[in-house]
Amino acid sequence: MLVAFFESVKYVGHLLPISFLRVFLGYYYLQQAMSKFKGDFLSRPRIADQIAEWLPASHAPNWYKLFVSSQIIPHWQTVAFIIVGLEFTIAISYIAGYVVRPVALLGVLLCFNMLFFSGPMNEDLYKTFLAIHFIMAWVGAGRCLGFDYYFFKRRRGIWW
Amino acid sequence: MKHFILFVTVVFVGLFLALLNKNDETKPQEVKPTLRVFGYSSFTGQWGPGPGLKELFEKDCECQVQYIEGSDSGILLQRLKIEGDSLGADLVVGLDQFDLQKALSEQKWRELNISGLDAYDEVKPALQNSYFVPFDWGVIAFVARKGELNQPPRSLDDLMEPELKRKIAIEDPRTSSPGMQFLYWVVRAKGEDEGFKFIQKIMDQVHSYSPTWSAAYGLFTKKQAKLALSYVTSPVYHQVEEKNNDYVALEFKEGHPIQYEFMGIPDFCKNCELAERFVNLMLSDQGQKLIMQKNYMFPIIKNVKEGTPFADIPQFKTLGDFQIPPAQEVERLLKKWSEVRRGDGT
Amino acid sequence: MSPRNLMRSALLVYLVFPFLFLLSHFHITNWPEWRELLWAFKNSFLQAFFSAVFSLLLGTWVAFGLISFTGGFRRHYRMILEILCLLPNFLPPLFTLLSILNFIDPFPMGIAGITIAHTILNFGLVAVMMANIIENKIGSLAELAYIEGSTRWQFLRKAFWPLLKNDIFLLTLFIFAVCFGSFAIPLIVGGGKGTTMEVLIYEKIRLSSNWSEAVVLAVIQSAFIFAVSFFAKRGGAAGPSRVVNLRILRSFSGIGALLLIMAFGFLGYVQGVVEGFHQISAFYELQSPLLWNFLGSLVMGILVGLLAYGSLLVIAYCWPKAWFEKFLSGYMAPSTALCCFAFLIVGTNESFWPFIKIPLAFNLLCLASLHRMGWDGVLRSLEGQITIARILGANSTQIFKEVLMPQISKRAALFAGVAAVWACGDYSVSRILAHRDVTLAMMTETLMSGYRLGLATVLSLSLVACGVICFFVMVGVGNVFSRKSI
Repeated sequence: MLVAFFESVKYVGHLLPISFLRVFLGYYYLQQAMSKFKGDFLSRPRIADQIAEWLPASHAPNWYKLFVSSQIIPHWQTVAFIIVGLEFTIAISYIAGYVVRPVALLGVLLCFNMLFFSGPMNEDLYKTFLAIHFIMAWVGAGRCLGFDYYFFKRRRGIWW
Repeated sequence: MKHFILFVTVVFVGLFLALLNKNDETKPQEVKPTLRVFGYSSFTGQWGPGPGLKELFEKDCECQVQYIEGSDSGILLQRLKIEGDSLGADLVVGLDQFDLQKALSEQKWRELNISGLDAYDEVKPALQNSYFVPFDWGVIAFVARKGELNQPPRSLDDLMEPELKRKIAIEDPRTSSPGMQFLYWVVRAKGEDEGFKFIQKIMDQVHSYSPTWSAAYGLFTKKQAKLALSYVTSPVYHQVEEKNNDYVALEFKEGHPIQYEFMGIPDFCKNCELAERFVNLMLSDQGQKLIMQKNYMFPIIKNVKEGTPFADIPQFKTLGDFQIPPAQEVERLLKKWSEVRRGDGT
Repeated sequence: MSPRNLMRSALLVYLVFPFLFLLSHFHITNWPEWRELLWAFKNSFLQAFFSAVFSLLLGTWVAFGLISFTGGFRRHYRMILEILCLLPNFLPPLFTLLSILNFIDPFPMGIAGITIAHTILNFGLVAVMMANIIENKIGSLAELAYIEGSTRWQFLRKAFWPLLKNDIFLLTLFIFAVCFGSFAIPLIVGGGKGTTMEVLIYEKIRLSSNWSEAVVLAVIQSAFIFAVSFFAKRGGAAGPSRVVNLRILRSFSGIGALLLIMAFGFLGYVQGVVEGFHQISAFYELQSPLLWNFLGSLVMGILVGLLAYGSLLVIAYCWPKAWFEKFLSGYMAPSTALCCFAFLIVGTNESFWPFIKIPLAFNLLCLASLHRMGWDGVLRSLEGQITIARILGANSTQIFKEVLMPQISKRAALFAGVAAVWACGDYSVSRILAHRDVTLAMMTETLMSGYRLGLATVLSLSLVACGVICFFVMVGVGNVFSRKSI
């Protein structure tokens, strides 16, 4: 598996630049997740406050706003847990290059939601992330310098 | 797909465990004290008064309220006995007068200092107890649909009317508190010997002895039974929630038993002061109103029901003096009832 | 100790854990009164016996109807009919009971009442199982008999009974054990003459807090079922599965009987649902707990399903072993209350523990039923292959992975799906082990205990939906593992 990890550079070397971008993004998410985990993101209703502040002004459809205010705000603890969990998942996956394709789709989902939850100052950042996650999923960024190459070589299929 | 699901699961489980560990580390500094209230399911459930009381209390207590559900009062006591302080309950809610003696003999309880309550006369005797305080009460009565019976019963003996044969839904006294109330009602109104003869005779009139109040009342609302042993306040539910005035509670000349629901603070409580404050909230006007509206039971303090449909409920004659029946006495009566039910008793 | 022996012992310890734990926790100080015990035992035996016999008779009749629908587009009708048959098993027993009481008015209380209720609750399950037995075990013979011109009666007498009598006995034993341990039905419709062992156990706990007597009663109850199972012989082996012509046995009147019972029996339920829909707006304020409890039910159902799936595979891995086989066919879990209290006392009940304890308790309660429902038959039919593989030098793990797994995974998942469906509809286990409403079934019960029977009836529909989802998730799991293991 380790051999395949490095061997990938030889066979799908054209993906190398994108794999660096992947690892960098993974590192960014790891930092984000760690700071949330160490801080009070999980113990105080920060996400609920953030949503309550920015959601009404966002371009989200009405049904979505209704759903968020009735389901997500009251259960902010679970939502905060899921967000941190997803960030860790993305971080580990991107750094290791393992199951990058489906995880990138999770990243798309996360970014979509964060686009509506965060204020206008973060909007551009999340839009960019959204595009990057999408590209990662599209090209299968884990195939180069990642464990996905090992599985792709043996099993094929759309998951790697 | 399998890899993906496994990977996400591992990350989330890892985070969850890390979080548990983290919470344990940080508990002493930042976690608010938690008041754990042990109660029966219809009290703590979404439709019960529990969530409303929790919200009210958390507003200014700088604490969290956590409910522990214990099915019904019987299971409540068993769990208290078996789990003891590992249950971590600071307050127990929902014992009735038949449970009190057992509760006293099996657990140590803190004395409650409740005074100055403007309580109803019917409730005052129940307030004499120093370990438990009632938070609501109900008058046990048979409920019928208006116009369904040619001659609505006016006494226990009228329950023997042929038109009621197999049409009365009563709860099993072994498993349900209103069922026990009925047994006690009969014994107190007729004396023990006559009472058990009556119990034997009424076996033919009873549709079935349901294990829970909900099953008996379900039989009645499904029109399987013409009468159900319930509460004087039951018709109010149909008036308020269903806009249906067809239900009526029947007054019996013998007087009706009263069921009290008590709360008490076990001696092993950890947040005893918070528990006392919660007791006070439940006995306040606001708390009592909430309990009345959600539990469909009478408040113990006066003036709470004014201006609500509960004020229009006719006052039924009650059996009078309140007693805490000894546990052995309750057990003896139930054994006798079981024997009569099996057909080998009196 | 080999891994198989270790796993066998572990499973055995898990299954007898409530008995061992309760016996050591509550020291046996006194025995129950003999008179009382015999009385309850007689009632339990009679009601279980008659329930099993009548369920079997009615179930067999309906099975003759079900086998009319084989192959082609007809199997879709068959699936609908089978879901209809299993409907009483999807719903909490109180709903079924209220519907039955609606249907039979006046309802006879006592042993007769319990028998009727149990028969209506179980005949569908018997029908589905019997139809499978007929198709898999004597299907080819029935086809041959039809071609050779045998009459139905001749076939029933000369082939059906002699070849299937062991299976029929096992099926009867399964229903007998289920009814013997039934609690809610005898309590409600038992009347004076209906105090069963299970009711007596509850009385002991509830009235006199006499746990030691309750445990003794549970041990006696289980020992009895264990003893009866010793008389059971192995069922016949299943033949190759293919679509067979079962004209000699099929009878559309069985379908008529099924539809009639369901139509009358569930009319009350449908009425309840319709009435409940008038109050549906009340669900608006409940949307949040509704969503979470739906997820809770799904999680609980799937966890129970996965645990049952795992346990069934463990049984397969440990198969065959005479004592192990005997133990599993005779094992009967202690009463729900006792089992749950055993789990309650062990360890903490905080945070996520209920989500571990509830599936463990539920799996323990239903594993023996799943085993008797046909898992033993599945494993027995593969014993020949296991022997050949062993002779050819395959080790246990190889046999399990390469011989058994591809063949049994789907069936295990099917049984696990049934367990998941039961778990979705149950609130008695979770009521004791969970600290708050975590599933739809618990929410349904809470609604009922607060006057809201109509809403509870509507909510029970979502229980059915949840049960169906869990069932198909388990079927999916079975398919995936079956494919992976080839």
